[in-house]
Amino acid sequence: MNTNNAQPFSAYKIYIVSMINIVVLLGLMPILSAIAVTPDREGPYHVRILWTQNPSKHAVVSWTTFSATQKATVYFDTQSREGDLAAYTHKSELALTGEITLTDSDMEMEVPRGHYNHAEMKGLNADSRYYFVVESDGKVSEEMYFITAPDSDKEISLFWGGDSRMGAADPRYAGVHPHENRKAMNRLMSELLAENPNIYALAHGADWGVTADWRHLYWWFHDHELTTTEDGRVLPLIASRGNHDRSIGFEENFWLGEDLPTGQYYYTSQLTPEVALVTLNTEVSITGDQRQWLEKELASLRPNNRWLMVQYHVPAYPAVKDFNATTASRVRNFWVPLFEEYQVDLAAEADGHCLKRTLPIKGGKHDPEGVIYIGEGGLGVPQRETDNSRWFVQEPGMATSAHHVFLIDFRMDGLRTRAIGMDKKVLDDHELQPRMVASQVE
Amino acid sequence: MDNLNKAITCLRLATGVMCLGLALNAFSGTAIGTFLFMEWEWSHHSSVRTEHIMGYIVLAVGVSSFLYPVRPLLAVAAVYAFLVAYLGYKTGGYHFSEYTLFAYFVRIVTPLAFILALFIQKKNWIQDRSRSWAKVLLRVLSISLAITFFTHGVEAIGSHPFFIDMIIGSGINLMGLYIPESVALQALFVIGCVDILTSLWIAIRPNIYVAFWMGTWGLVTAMARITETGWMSYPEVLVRAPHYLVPLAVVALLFFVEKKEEYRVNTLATDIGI
Repeated sequence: MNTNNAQPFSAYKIYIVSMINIVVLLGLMPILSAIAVTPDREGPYHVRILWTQNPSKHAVVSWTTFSATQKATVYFDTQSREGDLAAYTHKSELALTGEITLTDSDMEMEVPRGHYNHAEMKGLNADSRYYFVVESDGKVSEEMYFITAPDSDKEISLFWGGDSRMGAADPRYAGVHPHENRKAMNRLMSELLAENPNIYALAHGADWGVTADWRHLYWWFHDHELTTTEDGRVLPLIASRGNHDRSIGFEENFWLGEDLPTGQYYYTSQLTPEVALVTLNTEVSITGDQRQWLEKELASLRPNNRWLMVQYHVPAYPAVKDFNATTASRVRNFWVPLFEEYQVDLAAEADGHCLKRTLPIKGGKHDPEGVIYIGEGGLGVPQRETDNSRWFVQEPGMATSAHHVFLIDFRMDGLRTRAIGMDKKVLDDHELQPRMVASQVE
Repeated sequence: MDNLNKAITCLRLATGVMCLGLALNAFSGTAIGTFLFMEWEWSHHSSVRTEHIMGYIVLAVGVSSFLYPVRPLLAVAAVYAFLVAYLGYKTGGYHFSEYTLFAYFVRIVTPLAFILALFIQKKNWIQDRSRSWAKVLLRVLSISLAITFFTHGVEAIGSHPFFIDMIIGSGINLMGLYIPESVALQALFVIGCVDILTSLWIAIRPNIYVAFWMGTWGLVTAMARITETGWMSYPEVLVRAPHYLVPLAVVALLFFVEKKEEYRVNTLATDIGI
């Protein structure tokens, strides 16, 4: 009898307890999910430096916060102050902040809701270490430093790479599908940077993520921290925009300062008085205002620079993709003649997911006086097989499938490009003579 | 040849030419290969090979639609066109990729409409029944055209950089005339508005003159690929065959439906002794 009475009672009790558990769990769900996506440390996140037109005097500092920023300041100095805010000689206030746009996919992937923040460092001394911290609503970042570009005719080195996106539309990160290739390339750059203090920045040929939505950029910025050396040296970025970087998140997170129009992403970085890097944008009109700007820019830069380099995303001479694809044809028809007319020394292209260095090309054929095109992107993206039958990658050019970053040495007597593979082996090594010297000799 | 047969010929040409374009695009790389390689993590070799196999299949469908259209094969063409559009939307990496399914709508529907047209032709129904089925076909084609043209209109008003370059590049190549970007943008706004208006018109009330305009404009914009970047862009003209041939099918169907209507009224008048 007891048993008969007890059974309904215990079933009832189990039901009540279960219901209470469900209610409690449902109540805790937002808290649990918030814990699951809360970043693993306090303070400004994703701190990075962007170089634009005049990197010997100016830099943009950008970072992420996970709540709306009320007040933020960047403190900086040519000497380390180890985070003692009062001791820093210079400071710069927050110039731009806002909530990062989230898509439905971002929310599905539970990426933390973020806010972009940007400040400008102006009036910097050339070729100087700048130690800096970011104070954002009372939270202070670790002290880091970068070196400004020189304003004297000094030999410098630059990383160039592109295509650091992961394979799939949904980011596959830790525990799901770690993006180890990108991380490995970032660790490699950190190692090379520590070994060679003459490397000043990373020029990125774009396709940073699969899209510029926050679920991709969040992890890109997270992984970029791996490029920082053990002693806190940050690798400044020179940003271009690719076909996978078109969403609004790119403009929110890659702000180029007050002097450049929003969304344009074509500009010249004067790296030294003798080295100019022109960044172009294949995602806006190629034949319109940009081409007119490019013509004027090359005409004024060429006589005043020993080394003139251009970077952009979609290649004129693709080693993998369709040679007659629309954008490639446009670049060949409307930009390449200008590169040839103004004797650009080196063109860096991305998008193909491979490694290439073309023959010197002029007028659509091999010409020792022509322009050499390097790149195609290997900063972590899956690599494609190259079409080695194409005339422009025949010897002395090359093309292969390998993750890589280019280390470019701008020297007085030559321009050396080395493609460094993920295992630190040199995959390609090439040297150019300065054109201006050659024409002066004539 | 009566007007229904003329419409069928237009659809046959549109399907066949489009399949040739799709095949050529498959051989040079599409979103399918990108999807297999980047999303499914196939080897690049396997992705490219699979894409080439698909290209050969679509090529066979194209040839068969000229010579001896087989309905299941035409359905394959529609599925392939859908796949290219859907995976283009999924993999993105180009402007307005989120609208791809709408922009490609008439390409997806054309082989299916061709199946329907063959079905009407084969049945050889009495006039009233074939007229009502031709009306269905007319509706399907008009609405498909409207969706594609409307999407292109929205993209034009949204200052699609490809369209800007097409105007400037064609101006330079055809006339040696440099059209400033600001002028190209103004032209695009007008073009976009016209596209939207004509697409609404054809969707609500199919009209011969509007359909003619759409066919002409479809041909002009397809040819702009060549006038801008050269003859090697011809697969882009082929793949857009429905943009300039489906409007002609609509014209033929309008004649067919209206003539049948006249015939029906006349017969009715005779029957009741007017």
